[in-house]
Amino acid sequence: MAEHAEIAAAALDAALAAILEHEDELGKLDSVAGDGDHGAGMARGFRAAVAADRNGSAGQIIANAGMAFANTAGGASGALVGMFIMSAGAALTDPIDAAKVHAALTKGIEAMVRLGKGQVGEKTMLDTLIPFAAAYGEAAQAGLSVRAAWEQALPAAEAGMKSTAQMIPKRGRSSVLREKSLGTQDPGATSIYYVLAAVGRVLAEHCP
Amino acid sequence: MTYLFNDPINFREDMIEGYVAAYSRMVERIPDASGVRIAGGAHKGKVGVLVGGGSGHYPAFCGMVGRGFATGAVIGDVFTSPPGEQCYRCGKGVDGGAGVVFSYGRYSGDVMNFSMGEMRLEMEGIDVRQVIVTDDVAASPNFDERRGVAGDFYVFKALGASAWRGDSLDTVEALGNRVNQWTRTFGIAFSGCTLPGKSEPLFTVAPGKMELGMGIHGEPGIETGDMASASEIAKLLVDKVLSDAPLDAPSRAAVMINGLGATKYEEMFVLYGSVHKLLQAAGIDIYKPLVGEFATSLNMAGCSLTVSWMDAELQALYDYPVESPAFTTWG
Repeated sequence: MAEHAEIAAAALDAALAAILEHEDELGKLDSVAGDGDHGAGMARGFRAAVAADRNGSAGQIIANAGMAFANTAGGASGALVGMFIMSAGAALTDPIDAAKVHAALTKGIEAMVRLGKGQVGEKTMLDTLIPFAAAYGEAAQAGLSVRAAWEQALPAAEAGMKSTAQMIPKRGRSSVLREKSLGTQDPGATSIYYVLAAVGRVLAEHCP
Repeated sequence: MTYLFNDPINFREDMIEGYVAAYSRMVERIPDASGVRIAGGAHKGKVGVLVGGGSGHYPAFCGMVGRGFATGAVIGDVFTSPPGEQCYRCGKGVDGGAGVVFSYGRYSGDVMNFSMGEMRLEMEGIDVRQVIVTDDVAASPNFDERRGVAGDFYVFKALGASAWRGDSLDTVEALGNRVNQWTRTFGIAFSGCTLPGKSEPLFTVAPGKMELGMGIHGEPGIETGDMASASEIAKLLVDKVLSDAPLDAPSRAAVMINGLGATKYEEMFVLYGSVHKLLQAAGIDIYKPLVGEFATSLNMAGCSLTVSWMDAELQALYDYPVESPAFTTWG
């Protein structure tokens, strides 16, 4: 098994690759009720995130990446995703286990909620992240490994992402359009799912 | 289409470089930051006014930097609020020791990022106030939840004049907020706009239709209407704006027809002729109207009507001389 720091770095690389792969699709989702730049913004953020300082522990690498993301991406999603990654990384201390990963996810979500004042059901990234963290927490408590808990929690993230199609936004720029976005998945919830899925693939490759 | 670009990723940076090269007699780059400020830097003892947001809206925001106008502008990527780090750096770049006002149209990304910049500056002992523009009547029935669009101009103009004549931070902030309270905008679009490097517009408007109440970021409108004549559109715009007129405002008001990027000035003059008569008939004492581009949405075809009511105190700020790349007047 690779060092945790190397896995963290590989996870960030995989997140960037996943966002680049889906950049146009994310832009199209965003153009339904927004300005169509979500894919570009996430790509800009993750490009900066992978270029950030990679010395130190897994937590430090992730925190540095989050800082770089927040400093570069711009937009609401830049601030929110950057704060999430930075806060989660800052909370992730060695030695890493599933309970600590869950605690880090929780810290990241707390930071995001503080900044964006959102909650589940408002057609945002939180609709993917919060069910994922909850499912991950249950898996961790059941004694699953970092990797197995991630695998077990991913369907909750996917279901959360898909549920945003039936939601009417209450926050963000798309809230102005409200009904117009009905039937379309939230671009932020979608990009977060792609990132979580990419991290899951890295864990599957590197962890026992 | 956006025709002129190199690598779309560098569009903002390429734009700033050319802008500063063109207007170095009035503006300069803020060192190590994505923004510009008045040539020669912030003035000691004066409140710094930092405006900003994404690019794609010229002359908002960087075109409104200069003497008697904004002290500086932080510049984000196209339709993307600048990161908090850049708001911090540019805020620092316009600080003259008397505090800084951040002013921008209300979009969630801008609110978050400017607020993160504010926190950093406050930690360094710089007093920061935020004057958030909420003039778009289409965005929400609740005034505080609205977007900021072309009305930015009147708020920035007042902030800049107040700061330039040496008012205190409290006064500059209060005057900016007063202008916002009395400013209303409604916009319509005839076509969507296309981001640099993209082949498809962000939304399309069907032939014979128009979008009502869209923002300035290529978002579609809140409703679609049938295309109409200029005089009918004038009536629609005047009705939408006046139906939300502030109850406590005097009769005098500045009036603006703002082009969204791909609508000709001549067309807007045709529109304005009808708007002028309708507003006069509604009892508005029209003061120094403006027809032109003040907050664009890349190459969107369309326009908006803004009415900014003013009393003698606000009128003095509107009349205050200003010199900037986009707008110069001797009062």
